[in-house]
Amino acid sequence: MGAFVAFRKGIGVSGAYETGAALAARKMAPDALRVNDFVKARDKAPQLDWEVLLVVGTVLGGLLASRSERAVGGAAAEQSPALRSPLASATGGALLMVGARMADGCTSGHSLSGTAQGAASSWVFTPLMFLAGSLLARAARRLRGGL
Amino acid sequence: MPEMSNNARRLLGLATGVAFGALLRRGGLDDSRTIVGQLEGTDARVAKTMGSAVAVAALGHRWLLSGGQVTTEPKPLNPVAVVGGSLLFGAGMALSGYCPGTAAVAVGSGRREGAWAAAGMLVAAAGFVASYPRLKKALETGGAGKMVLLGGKPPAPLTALNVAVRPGAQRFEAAAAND
Repeated sequence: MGAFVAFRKGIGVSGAYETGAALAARKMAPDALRVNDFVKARDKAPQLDWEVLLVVGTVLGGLLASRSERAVGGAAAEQSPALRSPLASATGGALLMVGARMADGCTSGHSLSGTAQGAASSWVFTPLMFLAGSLLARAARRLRGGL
Repeated sequence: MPEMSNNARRLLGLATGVAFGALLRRGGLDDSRTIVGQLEGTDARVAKTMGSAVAVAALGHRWLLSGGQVTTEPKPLNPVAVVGGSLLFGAGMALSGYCPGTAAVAVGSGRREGAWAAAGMLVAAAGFVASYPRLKKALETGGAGKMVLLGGKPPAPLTALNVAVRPGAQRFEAAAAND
């Protein structure tokens, strides 16, 4: 599982969402989203770089893997019913993306690539992220009347 | 190592992504219940997968580092940004059951929940783009720069493993210790 991570300089996923959003914003609403100020502050113009293609590849990988499982009739092919409301999914996604861009990394950039390189910031990020997530998930479960 | 062309990088990025996505799918991470189960303490797959990935990556990175094929690129330690960001990230992960990588996989494998999460992420990323110029200063408050732990040396057990796997490493460890 980890071997491929080892042979890259370190991979990151959340930056690609930012780049993708910046690219789209520059096309559609450069003034409303102040894309020029963003480019100046980041000191780097957004471009279709390998990180964006990494995410495109990740989508493709998910597609190909689920297709091939379905083709061989694997048990993993079953689709779960929706467990969360679209609102919860989208809000959670939005919340974590803000967090990831603030900290300049997400599960792949900090918790996988960063910790493997011994980055101090990543060793702060990862335990805190799991702590916050665990407390919240456990609290939510109690509220739902679980264990 | 010679510099790669941008197109070669893109191609390698795409190929790495396909492998990454397929492996995350095999690990069941396109299902939001996997991450939530980890956070609730009922499913240890995430910790096991990530733990082994980090161990292998640390070893591989160390290995390539000694040959000069890679550099160490720690992200800057900005306390406000890293602490605040990690708390928001954890909360969002508990709520959605996804992270940016697994949401991309879920889009590929056709899970509606994952698509909603990814949509939320893109909207938030656009919002971040719009507000970053104003946030930048606050985020970088008290920044300690790019820091690595243990002077970039892996902990002892990892060094031992490294030496076991690759006998030549011993010389490198010794040379590094003399710096």
